[in-house]
Amino acid sequence: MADTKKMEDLLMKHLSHPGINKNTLKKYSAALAHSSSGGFNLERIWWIGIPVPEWVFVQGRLGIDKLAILENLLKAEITSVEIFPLGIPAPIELQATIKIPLMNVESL
Amino acid sequence: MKGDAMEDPCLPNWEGNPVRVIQIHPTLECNLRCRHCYSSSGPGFKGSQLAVGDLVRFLEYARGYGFETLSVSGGEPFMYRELDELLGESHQLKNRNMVASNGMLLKSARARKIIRDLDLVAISVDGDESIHDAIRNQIGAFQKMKEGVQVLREEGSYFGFIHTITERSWEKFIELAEFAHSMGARLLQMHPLEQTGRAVLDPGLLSPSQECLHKVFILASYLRQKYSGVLHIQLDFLHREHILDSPVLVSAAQEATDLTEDNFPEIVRCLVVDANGSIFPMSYGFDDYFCLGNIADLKKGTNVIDRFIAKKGAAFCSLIHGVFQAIAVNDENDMIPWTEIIVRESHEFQKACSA
Repeated sequence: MADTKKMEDLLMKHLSHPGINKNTLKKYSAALAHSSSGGFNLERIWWIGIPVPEWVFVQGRLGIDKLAILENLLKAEITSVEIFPLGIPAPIELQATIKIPLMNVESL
Repeated sequence: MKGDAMEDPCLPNWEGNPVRVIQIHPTLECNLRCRHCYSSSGPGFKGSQLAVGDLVRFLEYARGYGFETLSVSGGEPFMYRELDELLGESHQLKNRNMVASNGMLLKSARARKIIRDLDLVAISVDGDESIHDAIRNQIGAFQKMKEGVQVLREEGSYFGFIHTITERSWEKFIELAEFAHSMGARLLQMHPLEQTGRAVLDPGLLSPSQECLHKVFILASYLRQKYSGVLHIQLDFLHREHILDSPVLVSAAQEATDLTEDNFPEIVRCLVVDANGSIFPMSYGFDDYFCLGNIADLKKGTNVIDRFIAKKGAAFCSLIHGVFQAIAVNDENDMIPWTEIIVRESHEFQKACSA
């Protein structure tokens, strides 16, 4: 609970920061839009960086039959996608952690 | 739309997507005079109400085209004297019934009876108590709304909250979701303020900027995972990328299409009946040029949908395709309040045609 509050306070600090301009927001929401497109079930979002997020991470799951979504994710400005297969003996879904690139820190 | 409320497990299990809505504004009479009201409703419209017989006839007619969800707005729906009859007849047609209400008139025996004929109740909330009361122009409005929500809980209703997004709404979005969750709501719908109706006259109410909508979008991504399966977060605007990936989200296609009897429900999706009984496609506030007719026309046997397809179908499709193309080439704005844009452009389209 305390962690959630801390994370929410941090997110609000990020979004309130005068350095967060329209271009940064466009980049931020575009990455989220790509990562939440069809079939990718969002599980967790978190941020690193004070006062503005330097990195944004999105973790979610996708069915093994929805691998094409990865192509969509890679089209976006995404630094890396880490994938873990889930299911024994054969994977039935994948857990993916997406690292969204540095926010517009040079403008701060 | 992306994140359609009907797909979420925390809302009623409604089979047969996509939802095709008949949105009825049976009266502009309201117990409040909200500063942002898009239909300028208020206490001054006493006595002006649509005849329930005409509305039921229209529901039967529209059901034949696959429109199976009745959504009653207003004015305040609970001030419509024949609401119980309208909802009862609608359920007889096997429609789903929804209302958008300010939640202040739910404590009477009549209201409780009506609530049992509702599949989803959407209650407006503008923020915390002080903000809500200020925008509603009435001290105590927030408290009365909460008492109304308590009635919904007692009746075991599915209910949610609708919030009109203004420039600073994003600052309170997390608290608003906490409030909705704590009250037992299953839906939090975020609708951008439109510069129409009474909002136009109020310089203190600013429509949300692109920056604000981006922030709401980012916060919604976080809140969706926080309240997954418990509270559905619905945004009444779309990311441009989602529209370009799936033009069908906004009834558009990469190529211009013709309106036909078969695709009419998929493209139009919502039929709006305003307080005069006039029927409009898609959303409240469309230009008169696109009016399908009046619900009273059905008494004369007029097939208003067929007439619309024949006379205005090409113009309507051209309007949708034109707006879609404009969005496709303009990458400046990523947050797209589609309904507001299409309504605004319907007026421009008519002006251009006249010129």
